Amino acid sequence: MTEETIKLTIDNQEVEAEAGQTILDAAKTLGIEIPTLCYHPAVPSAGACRICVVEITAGARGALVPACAYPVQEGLGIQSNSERVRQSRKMTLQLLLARSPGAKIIREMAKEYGCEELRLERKDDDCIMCGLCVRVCQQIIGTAAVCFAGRGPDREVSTPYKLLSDVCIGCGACAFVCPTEAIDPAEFCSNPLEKIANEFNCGLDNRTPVHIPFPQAVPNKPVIDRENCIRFQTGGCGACQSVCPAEAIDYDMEDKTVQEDVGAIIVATGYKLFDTEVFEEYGYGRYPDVVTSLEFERMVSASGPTDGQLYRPSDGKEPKTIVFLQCIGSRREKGGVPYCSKICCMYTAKHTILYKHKVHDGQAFVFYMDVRSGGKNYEQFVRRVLTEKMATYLRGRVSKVFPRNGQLVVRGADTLSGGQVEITADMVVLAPAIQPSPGVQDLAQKLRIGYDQHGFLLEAHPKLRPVETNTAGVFLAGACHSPQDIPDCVAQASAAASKALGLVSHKQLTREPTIGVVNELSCNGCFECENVCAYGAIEHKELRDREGDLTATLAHINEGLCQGCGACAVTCRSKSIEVQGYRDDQMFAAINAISR
Amino acid sequence: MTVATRLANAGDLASLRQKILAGRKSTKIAISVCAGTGCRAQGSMELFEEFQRELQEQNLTDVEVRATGCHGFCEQGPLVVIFPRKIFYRGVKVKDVPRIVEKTIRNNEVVDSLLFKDPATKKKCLLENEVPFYAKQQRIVFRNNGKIDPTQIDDYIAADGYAALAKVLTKMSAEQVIEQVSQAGLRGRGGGGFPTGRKWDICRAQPGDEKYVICNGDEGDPGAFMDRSIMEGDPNSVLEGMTIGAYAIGASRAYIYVRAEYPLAVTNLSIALEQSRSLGLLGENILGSDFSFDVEIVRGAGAFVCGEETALIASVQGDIGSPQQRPPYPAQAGLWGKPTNINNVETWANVPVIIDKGSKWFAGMGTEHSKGTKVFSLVGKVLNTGLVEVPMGTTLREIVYDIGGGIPKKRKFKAVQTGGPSGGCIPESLLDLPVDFEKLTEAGGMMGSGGLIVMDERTCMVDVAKYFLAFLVDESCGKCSPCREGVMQMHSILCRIVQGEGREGDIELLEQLAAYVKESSLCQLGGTAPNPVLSTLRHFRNEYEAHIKDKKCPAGVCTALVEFEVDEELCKGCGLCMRDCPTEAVIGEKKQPHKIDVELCIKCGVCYEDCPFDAVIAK
Ligand SMILES: Cc1cc2nc3c(=O)[nH]c(=O)nc-3n(C[C@H](O)[C@H](O)[C@H](O)COP(=O)(O)O)c2cc1C
Ligand code: SF4
Ligand code: SF4
Ligand code: SF4
Ligand code: FES
Ligand code: FES
Repeated sequence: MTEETIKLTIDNQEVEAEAGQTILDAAKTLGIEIPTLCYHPAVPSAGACRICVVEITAGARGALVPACAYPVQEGLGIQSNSERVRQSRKMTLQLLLARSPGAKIIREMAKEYGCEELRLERKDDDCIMCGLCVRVCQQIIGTAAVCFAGRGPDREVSTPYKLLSDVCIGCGACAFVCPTEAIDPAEFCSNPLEKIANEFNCGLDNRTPVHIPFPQAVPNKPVIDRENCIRFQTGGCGACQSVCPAEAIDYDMEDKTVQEDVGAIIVATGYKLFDTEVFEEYGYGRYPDVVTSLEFERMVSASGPTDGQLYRPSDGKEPKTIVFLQCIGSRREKGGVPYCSKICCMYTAKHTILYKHKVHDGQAFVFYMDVRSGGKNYEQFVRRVLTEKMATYLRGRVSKVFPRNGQLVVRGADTLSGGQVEITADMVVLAPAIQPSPGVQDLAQKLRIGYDQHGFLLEAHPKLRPVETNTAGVFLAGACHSPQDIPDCVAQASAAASKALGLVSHKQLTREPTIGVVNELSCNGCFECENVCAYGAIEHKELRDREGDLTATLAHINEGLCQGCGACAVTCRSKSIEVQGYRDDQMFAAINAISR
Repeated sequence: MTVATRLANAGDLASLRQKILAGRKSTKIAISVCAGTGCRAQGSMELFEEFQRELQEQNLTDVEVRATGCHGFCEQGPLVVIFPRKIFYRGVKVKDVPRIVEKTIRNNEVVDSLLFKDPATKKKCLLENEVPFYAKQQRIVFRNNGKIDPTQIDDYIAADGYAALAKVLTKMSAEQVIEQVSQAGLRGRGGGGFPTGRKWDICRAQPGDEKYVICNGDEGDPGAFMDRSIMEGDPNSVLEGMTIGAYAIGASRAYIYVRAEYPLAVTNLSIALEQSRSLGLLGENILGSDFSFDVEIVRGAGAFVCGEETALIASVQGDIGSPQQRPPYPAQAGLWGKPTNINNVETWANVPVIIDKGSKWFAGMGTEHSKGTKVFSLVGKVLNTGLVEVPMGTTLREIVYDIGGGIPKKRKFKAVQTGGPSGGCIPESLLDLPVDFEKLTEAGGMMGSGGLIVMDERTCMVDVAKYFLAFLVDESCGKCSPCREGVMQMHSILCRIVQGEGREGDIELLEQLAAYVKESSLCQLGGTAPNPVLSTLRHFRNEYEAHIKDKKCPAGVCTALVEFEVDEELCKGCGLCMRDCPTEAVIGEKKQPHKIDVELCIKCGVCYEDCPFDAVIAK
């Protein structure tokens, strides 16, 4: 059928709609709000609750029809909020209010329509019989685990024979669409799906298979996690596709390997936190109220799992005493890392402030080795924490964290007063050491750049070329290079970016002239040179005859990559490579000249 | 039954009919024993076998015994009619068989005691058409019921069956068929009254080759059984009508949706399907034409709402029998999403006659907008109850008094409830209303499937409304809020009122709810559910007020609001009430006025019903 456009008027405004759209769809394009209860864009409409009724001008008296289920028709005139419509909605709300006085959405709607007074005989059933759960389960998920049973006022949503359902996959779609929170698959599902931990929130809450990886992600768009998506696992569902107005969901898309020719690469692979579970004395992983600084960061974040409310994980209570432990794994030759992780002092100071903002009457303690506040205004910041009594700083290390009466006891040394202290706390926050991201060494090998014994990537020269590497065109930015705080990262990133731009913004590349060249007449294509070139400058060059048939594959040196070290030249058995300016005959000539 | 040979063309059918008729003399004596569900329940099958045995024994091989469909007067069953004279015997028992054979069959005498005595005139009626119940009827849909054996297609063919189909297939285009049906003015008998020809035309005009035809035999109205009687008594007329309809619409498959409580209808329809298939009246290339068509029976689970067409389609598809929002209408997207035409059993049964006798003949009966006849099931407080087929436009008075014989026990007529549970009550002042679709609706009732319940002065209209609403609360599918919640709330208000707990404002609240449920419900179950309340409020508002304000039930029905008392003037001391009272609350000596002990009385109303002198009064 051809796509027809249909003209109709809603509240005296003309609107065009496509055949097959509903009055509700058409009203949306005009920005006219129509209340709905049994409607969900992802689920086929049923027209069951009747809250969305509108008045159509067809027939002598017109009629009330459900906007969500009534198809647009040419020339239809619609009043979306006439007195008759409002009267009908009011009565629907009164009836639903009598049935489900506990349902928040009904109470709110009734209030809006000025009919929150109960005049009818009341029941106490949160389910308003909208049927969304049944429809989503049957028609979207394709499971049909819940269905209607009974007729009339006895109708109810149930699994067959009210038994535990082994058909239900526990996807929670029913609970998701239920307008009144009346259904919980946990009550009837015999093997619920596992919850998916939200990685960005350190697993402190859960996420759906289709999700935006984190707030302000670039691009800020959802991705589908195939391992957990019902569509990919069973072929059912497809809900996201049916709601996406941009029709952007394509389940047939495959992962692709993208190959690009580039002139510069900036490595910015970041860091990971030291696995603090190995330090058994701190009890991380054993006691839920011992958390890492990153977890704490998510807990107090306004966009975090608790919307910025601070609760301790074990029982959801507000922690009245909190202890921050710095240098967990840092500056620790045995079992940890010898270097200072650099950022922990400053963020811990910040955490104590955040903590006091959340818990005004709370008490914070910080165990530290040294407070390293080198950086513009850093020292002043730490001073403020101390003078404003945000936290009590204790210089010393903690020997043990253990539970007692539902709380945690932190036992440590206070080297300044020379004694041992024990603090009974509600929560303990660890500041773990920073390590390079896993897998960065593999990457370094691919890029032929160096790294140190801890895995941090090596710059070409610590003072003169801090963002460059020994491989031309490869630059470093951020914590892949060393523990860095945000200003350092940004500065380094800017530097790397301008270096890269400096490289690619010229039409021609300027280089040192002392690079290797291959004598194609004598090269026999053994590619020994390829193995020794630290910069990946050896390429394969194919020689062809007039017919285009391959006659030989010879070594060729990429002028942009070659650093002129000469390793290839000394390796080549046929003496086919020489470094320009340092050819043998030139060297001999120089020697002869000197010795003459 | 002739051994089935496929009829290759219309000529074959005509010769088959000639052959069957040649074997039957019109003067031949035939005993027709009603084998409808009602008479069977009273033992008519044993009667049938007894006749066969008796005739064989007496070597009366010339006499035919025929088990027919329902004659409509089930109340008087088992019925036996002796052809060709049509001597009408009622309440016949197995022990009467020898007498009937001896007297009527052998000697052409009448068994007086088996004749019907008109309760109004006390006169005995010899022939079927002398019985007042039948005298005013005009039987078109029921043309064969009571005459033919529904399990013998020969009987149907002999009665001109399938002649209309032959005519359609040989002489008429689909358009001409629709034209005929439209001109006849046939309207749906399932309740909606939609013009059948127009419905077919809409379905015919839909794009696509795959279309379906459905016969709605759900018949969920309690008390209505005309569709059952037709399916049981003349199944071939339904099949023929459907085949003609399918030809006109361009459908090749059909379903008959029969409620599961109708096993005999299913049996007889199955037999008819088998027989007509073997004669080539169904199946590939019917009567040698290039039209092919077949029918399947689907047994419904017996929910009232499954009679609603979209719910019926859902049920045929194996889904929950809940109605769907229209549009799309079934004609656009019905069964399996294909254009589908649904008609009621009685509608289909009308089709062959219209083709046979012409649209003019059919349109000659009835009123301006309602043509033909309608079968009503007349029950309640009337002397003669049963299935009544009358031309549209017959007045309610004629039906209730002339056919129904009036109200028993000399009580006063109060109202007649029309149209099934969601119909309305029509008061005495409107008894001269000629029944047709529009007139009934205007009066607050409706045609519905044709239920007529007569109520006398001892009927409380609030109680009646409550009764029907209780049915509708149970039968609401529960999908949409207005019907599920609204009707339930109306019912609970009515319950309060009859309990004597009615409040100021209840009537207004009922009216508000009624108006709302009517216009906001998804399907016509909800759309008509408030009718019992609205029509009683319209015609009997004072009874509601009496219940609410005075806490009285004028009809003496609502036990919470009445007290029974014996009128000492009228009481003859017969002791009937005393005998039946379950709590021995009636006291008194024989032949002396009795008394009721109000302390003991549980207000069951047995005495009130019992008393032959109406001496028990409700206060
Ligand atoms: C609640 C409800 C119950 C119905 N029950 C029946 C029924 O039992 N039999 C029937 O033929 N039509 C019934 N109908 C009417 C059908 O929906 C439909 O209109 C009819 O079958 C169409 O056939 P007709 O045009 O021949 O009347 C019912 C309608 C409603 C709303
Ligand atoms: S959780 Fe179970 S019942 Fe709910 S939609 Fe998923 S499969 Fe269906
Ligand atoms: S449980 Fe929720 S989604 Fe399901 S029918 Fe009830 S209100 Fe609707
Ligand atoms: S009106 Fe009643 S029967 Fe019809 S869909 Fe609504 S709840 Fe079901
Ligand atoms: S939202 Fe349209 S009927 Fe419920
Ligand atoms: S069943 Fe015999 S008259 Fe109806």
